[in-house]
Amino acid sequence: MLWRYTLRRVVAAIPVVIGVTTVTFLLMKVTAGNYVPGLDLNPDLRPEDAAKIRHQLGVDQPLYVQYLQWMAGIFLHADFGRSLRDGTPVLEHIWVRLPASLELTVTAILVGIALAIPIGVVSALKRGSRVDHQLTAMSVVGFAVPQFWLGLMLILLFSVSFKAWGLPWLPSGGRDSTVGGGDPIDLLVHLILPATVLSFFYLSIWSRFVRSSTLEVLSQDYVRTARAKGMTDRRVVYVHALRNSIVPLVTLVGLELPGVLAGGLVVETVFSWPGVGLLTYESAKAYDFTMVMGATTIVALLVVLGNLVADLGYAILDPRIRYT
Amino acid sequence: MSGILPGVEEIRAPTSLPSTALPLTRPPRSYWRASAERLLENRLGVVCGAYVLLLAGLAVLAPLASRYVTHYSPTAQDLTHLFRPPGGPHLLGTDELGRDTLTRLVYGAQVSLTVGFLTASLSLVVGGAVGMVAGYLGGWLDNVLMRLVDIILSIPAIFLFILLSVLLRPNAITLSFIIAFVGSGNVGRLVRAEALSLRSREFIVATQSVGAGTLRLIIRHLLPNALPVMIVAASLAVGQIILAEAALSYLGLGIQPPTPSWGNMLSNAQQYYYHSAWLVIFPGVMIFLAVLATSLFGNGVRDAFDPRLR
Amino acid sequence: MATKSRPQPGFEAFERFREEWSRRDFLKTVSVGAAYAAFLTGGLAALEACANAGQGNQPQNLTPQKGGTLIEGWSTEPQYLLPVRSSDVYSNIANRLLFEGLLWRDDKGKLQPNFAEKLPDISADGLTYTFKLRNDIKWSDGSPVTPDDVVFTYQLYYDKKYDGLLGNSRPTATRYIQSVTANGNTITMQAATRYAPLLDTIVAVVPIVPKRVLGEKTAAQLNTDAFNSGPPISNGKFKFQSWTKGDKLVLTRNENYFRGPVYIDTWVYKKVPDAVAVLQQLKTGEIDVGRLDFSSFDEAKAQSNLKVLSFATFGFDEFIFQLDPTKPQGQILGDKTVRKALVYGLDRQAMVNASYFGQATVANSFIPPVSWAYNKDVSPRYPYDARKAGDLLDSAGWKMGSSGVREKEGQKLTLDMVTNADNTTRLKNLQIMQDQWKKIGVDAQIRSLANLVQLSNLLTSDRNFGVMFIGFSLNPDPDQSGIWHSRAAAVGGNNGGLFKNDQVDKLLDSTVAEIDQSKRKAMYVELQNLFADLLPSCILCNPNGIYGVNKRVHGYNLNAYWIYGGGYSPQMKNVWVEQKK
Repeated sequence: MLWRYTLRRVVAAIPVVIGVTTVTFLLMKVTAGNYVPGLDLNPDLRPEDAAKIRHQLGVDQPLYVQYLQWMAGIFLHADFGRSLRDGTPVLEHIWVRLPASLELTVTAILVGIALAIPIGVVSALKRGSRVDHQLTAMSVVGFAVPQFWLGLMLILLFSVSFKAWGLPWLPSGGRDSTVGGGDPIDLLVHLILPATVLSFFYLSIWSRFVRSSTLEVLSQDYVRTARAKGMTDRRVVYVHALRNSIVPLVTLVGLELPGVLAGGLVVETVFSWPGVGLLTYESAKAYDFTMVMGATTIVALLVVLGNLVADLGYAILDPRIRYT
Repeated sequence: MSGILPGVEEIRAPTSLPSTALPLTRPPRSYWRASAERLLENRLGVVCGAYVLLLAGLAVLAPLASRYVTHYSPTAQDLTHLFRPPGGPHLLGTDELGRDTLTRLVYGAQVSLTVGFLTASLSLVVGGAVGMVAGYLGGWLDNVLMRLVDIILSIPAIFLFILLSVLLRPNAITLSFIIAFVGSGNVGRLVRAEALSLRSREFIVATQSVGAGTLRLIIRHLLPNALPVMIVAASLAVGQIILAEAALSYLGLGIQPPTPSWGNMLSNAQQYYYHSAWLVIFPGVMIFLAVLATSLFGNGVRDAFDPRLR
Repeated sequence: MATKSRPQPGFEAFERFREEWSRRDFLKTVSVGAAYAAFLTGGLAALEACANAGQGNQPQNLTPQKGGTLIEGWSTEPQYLLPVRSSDVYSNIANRLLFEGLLWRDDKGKLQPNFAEKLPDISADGLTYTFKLRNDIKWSDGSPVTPDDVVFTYQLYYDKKYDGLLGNSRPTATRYIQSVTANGNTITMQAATRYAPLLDTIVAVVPIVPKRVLGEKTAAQLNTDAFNSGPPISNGKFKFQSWTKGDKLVLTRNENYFRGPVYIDTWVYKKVPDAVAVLQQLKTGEIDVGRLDFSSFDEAKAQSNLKVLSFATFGFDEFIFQLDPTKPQGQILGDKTVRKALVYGLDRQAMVNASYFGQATVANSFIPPVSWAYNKDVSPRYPYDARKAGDLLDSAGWKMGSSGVREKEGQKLTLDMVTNADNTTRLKNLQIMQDQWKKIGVDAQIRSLANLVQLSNLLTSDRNFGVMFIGFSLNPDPDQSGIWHSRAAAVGGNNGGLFKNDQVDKLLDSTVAEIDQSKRKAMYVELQNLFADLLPSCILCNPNGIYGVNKRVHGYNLNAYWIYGGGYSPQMKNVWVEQKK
């Protein structure tokens, strides 16, 4: 019945796709109207000149005409509009910036998982001890600190202060060095601070989850049996507890995946990491509204696609789901 | 930023009284009462809850504090006393326009907490209603509502914030609506799942067979049972909402000056870190403590409502 | 938190330590340690002093080095590298290094010949300009720049054939240029009407682009052509190498530049998120040049590796009064006495000190002081005098009411002040104005619009405001008809307060048609005095441009003409960098 489930999922996704494109269009038009950057507050342009340029750009057409052009463009030509700032297609811009965003968020997620498991497990094993309290405190801190503040403090310490003190310093932003960069080491060095800040948040949630999940497993009967048979705690944890926690953890991680493209926007802004989030934010600041509209739509569509794929993945892994 | 309500797991509220098969060791208590008592036993939770109440009280009484305690208004400028360090008549110093930091922090509590609680309440009400109706009634209404929720949730929250903040000039009220708009989706899904599982319970079926109307059934029977989930979600969300307000202020999309909010105080002060670090530290600490307190309190509430996690 | 009774481990260790070591050994070790620490800190301080001294005591006759990279950090990226398509400051910074034109402006703002052999001959009726093109100008691939290139370039700006070409500089060119033709090396430009700013606002800013590459394309093709993001050949000091959008734009030295190659090898335009990051990267040396925010001035000055340039620019910040008598605010502000009182009641120097950190000059005229048309004896002036302000308001019938707000015929003196919220300087200014006007009995309410979009809508169409705080950056040519002429009061124009005065209109039109600069100046003197009396707006100040430049960069002498109005950076010829060892 897999194909029937797939079909149903795809059909359910269609109204979402249409809805997403419509909602972004409406939001954009209500927000920006027919504003074109550079056209207003320009002492050299007379009102009639500005009106003529607006007409050339097609922003003075009635709303429904613009809407139909927008929809036709997306679904017939995969044309998400052109940037109002430099005239190049929005899709091209996004395509170029996508790898950077993925690099950042995927690294942060992997780091988060890699650290969350040992921290959670140690916390659970040493439940109630000082170590547990310290680790809990640390993860709660990670949860409560504003991301941008953490990023700025780290930059101030590892970038500006270290340099002033003559210590080897980390770059304060960007994906590679402006002059002579681009090699893997350079890319890695630039990735350290932003990925750390982003993973902090994931880390704090997931380590708590691993802890409670491990605790739950440890209180089960079969674990008591294993212990009675002489198995050490450590073996119990690694062989049984982890295996049972992994799938729910993957579910939790999976929840984050649709947000992968936009989740790092604040971190991208702080570290001027050239990803999709930063592009959207700066376009909004520069009043390049076609870019914001196009970027939001593309990312939203990717999210819908990602959810679809995830649903199908679950259906393949867990046959019960196919019949819901 | 990830979903507004992270880390919330489904909990099942027991709907039957504790078993009386054993000799009576203690009198039967209602579920609510038992949870409340468990909450009070949790020292950390109580401390955090008290701190939140203290903050809320401070926020409400801000104008009084300004008049009688600090003697400064949050927007009064003193161009001859810019960047005063803490100490002296300005207990926590002054900012780039000579305004008193302490008074602004207190008024900032008003804004940040208003946004936090109002948003949480709004998303509870809207999300709860949507989820309840969709989950219980099912059918095409469920489909339509869930598709709408899908649409909102597919558009990345931060992009929606950017668009909506450009559209509506952000003050505490509109900002709450914006964040609630994005966050209700998650609450809606959560409540729908609760409703789905509850609707096949015997007591619901019994109520239906007696002929109770749909609305009455939802309000008087489904709602109280879904409430624990919602409360837990809300109390955990408040902290995240305060952080969201701070992040939006950093991006320039949050509460606009001269109205003080911890978020915009923090992001404004960042350019003066070099010579006036206290302007950065104080609002940062306030945000941190508020989020910490609400999150730990929320954890305490969750632990209290779910006996399994003891 | 410890409730234990036995001593802490650390304390125990210290006790043992003390027992084992004799007093003398202890003292010896401590003193050696202290000496070492002193040496370290002293050494570090000495090193830093040496570094600073080395920077300061540079011999004046340092010889320029060839080579190296200059990185400029900007918070906004360029738009298009095809000059006709973009007229914003950021695109100009880049494409003026790639393409140059017939004339340029030197650092005093005087027009000088560039690709033209000398300044043009202007006919007696002021309608015909004759240039002679030099014959030693080359493209970066070695081929010559021909008169055909010049004619083609100007056609892009004025010819109907290219009407579909999107570019904000086209309307002005279309209005004033009738034709451009070439006969051998002689270029003849025919103006449609007498237009004094023609050389300054058009010729000095039109750089020549290659007909060979672009000649066959239609306007629609040019709008999206790859040239916009990467021109294959250029005739300026640099040629294009690469552009990673959102990150950096890289140009390399053009060996075929007609005045000889420049010193630096590579020039990079680096995208930096905001003003705070610009300062940070200047400190760490990641960028060599960056524009600074007012609030960063002091901090930047304290850096030992930077020199800070603060210079007057072409631009002003002002607040406009609503003068439309059909609007309630216009009825209050239509009274000149009230406007004068409001300006007398503002301590503008204090505002400059607080919002601009002192890096701006209080203005008395709508023409910036750096302009040749500036009237330094402009009068009347409005020095801060709160009492006089109160007296003027009294004489206008606004008497102080019991609530501290002035009243007249039952109406309170309430003002609606607007600006865009995402500009902190403007917001600060409004807050100070509110405070100061409260003292003279004016109740001013601040309304901040989310962003420039809404502000410009308000200015150009909606026009529902009392006092609007806004800023303009101007051309070096003093003509400001686009802001003050009555025709700019039409919907879509910048005259949002609906200021209409026949005498001002007449003067504005005459100054534009008068080619003789000394006659123009006389008219501008009269215009400035008239403006200062009519007070349709209060020009608050002329903000400085503030730039941080790394000390290893030499010859980078910024001033108003370099950055604004599209001056070609001829000074880049003298810029060289000390190479990092």
